[in-house]
Amino acid sequence: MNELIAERQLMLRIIEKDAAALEQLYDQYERVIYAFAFRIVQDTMTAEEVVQELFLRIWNHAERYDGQQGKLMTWMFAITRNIAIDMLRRKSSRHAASPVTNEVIHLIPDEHISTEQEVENRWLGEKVSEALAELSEEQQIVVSSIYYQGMTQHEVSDAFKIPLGTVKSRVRLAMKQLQKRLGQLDLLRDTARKEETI
Amino acid sequence: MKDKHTTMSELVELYVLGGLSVSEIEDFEEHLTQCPECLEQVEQMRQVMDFLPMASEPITPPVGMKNRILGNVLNPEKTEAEAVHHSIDDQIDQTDQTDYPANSGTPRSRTRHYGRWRAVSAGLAAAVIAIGVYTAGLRGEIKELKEQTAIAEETEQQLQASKAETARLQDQLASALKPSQGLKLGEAVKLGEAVKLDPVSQDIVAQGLATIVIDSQGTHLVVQAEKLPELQDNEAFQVWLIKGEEKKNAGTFLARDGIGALYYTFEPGNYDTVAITVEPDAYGEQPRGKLILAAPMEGSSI
Repeated sequence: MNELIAERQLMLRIIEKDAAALEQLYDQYERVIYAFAFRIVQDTMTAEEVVQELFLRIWNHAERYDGQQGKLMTWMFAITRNIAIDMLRRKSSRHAASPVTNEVIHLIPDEHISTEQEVENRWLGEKVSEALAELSEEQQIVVSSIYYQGMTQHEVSDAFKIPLGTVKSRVRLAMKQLQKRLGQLDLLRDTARKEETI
Repeated sequence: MKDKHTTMSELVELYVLGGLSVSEIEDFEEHLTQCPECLEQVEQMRQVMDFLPMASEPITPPVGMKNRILGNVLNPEKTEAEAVHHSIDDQIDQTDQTDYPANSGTPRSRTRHYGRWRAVSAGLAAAVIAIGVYTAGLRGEIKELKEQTAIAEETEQQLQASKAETARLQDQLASALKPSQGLKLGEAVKLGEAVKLDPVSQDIVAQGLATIVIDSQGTHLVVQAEKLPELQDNEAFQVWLIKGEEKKNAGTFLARDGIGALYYTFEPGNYDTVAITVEPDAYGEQPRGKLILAAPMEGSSI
């Protein structure tokens, strides 16, 4: 709870255009946000653009964060995904789009895991990755195509030549399995939130 | 036949994951306003979603990203330097159909411009812009350096270094302006293709762009690079024009925040490669240091 209060106070300072508060927020979330953006756009410069757009929106519209609705990081991830998917779509409209079926990613190992938060993030990341890895290959493809590539169920159906109903059922089963797995780790809570947009 | 609630409840996971079309989202959200049961399911499933970003592989952000981003966010006024990057972006769009990063320096502040240059053969206009781009970039760098100098509470030594760098850039700017000053409408000018300078190994994140401009003053090489590694001691970046085993020194430059540029006038000599190395000092006639960026120049007029 203290964490939530601290986040709200930080955002209040940003609303008041406290540049130091924005820098604090940036330092706190740079790595996880950048990694997430890169996971979606698969390009270092575009990922940087995504992060910049995120912080630009936060700086200009911090008042839209409602601390009652949940964690700041969740809100930031949701906006990051929106921006990244939007950039992906624009990019694919510029170049002849081809489904990403075999992603080759050049990753730079993270050599600066020192803070408690980063250790916790790493642990969480491993657990979620394990849960995702337990999905069937078909489920992983469908979830990845929708979540990381911004495809709709119809686009997935067309791209992979599978019936729409199958797409739907794979997503349902995958999400329920993830829910069960994360629930076993006691990571899920009961409080409700609302949709985040900026 | 399924009732509406059953049909809609089957879309909860797709809705949360982001797999519905715009019209489907509208229908589903309308249903949510009337169905607490589905709303509750959405809230529960969204908790699962909250964890998916954490599964992203850790990756170290590019060097200098924080300064670039906070600088752009906190100072949204467009600088000349930003205008440079936009123009270069368009140039890249035109000359390179591969997925070269859509930005050669700082990310765009607000919107992307997808307009493409369509007139390489238009010669004059393109060349003027290319030269303008470069000189404006130098002006931007000088401006930044001056601002830094004004506010710096650093040591006298650092202050002197900044002044020296400003003077160097001003010299470069003065020399870069020469060809553009000499240009006249109708003068025969040719802008060569911009080629992407690629890192020579996976541990190098630097990227660059090399452009050839030909006018009545001669043939000029414009090199811009970013994400350059930090230099130590007397190290300098050195540009080489290579023809087989022959390596011609095309000048040295330093970088600030990992960004550097060079303008070099030379005699065409069928060079096949342009490369950038990190040299122990700026005085070598042959490469001694580590190669970081290179690009073939086949088909160019150099």
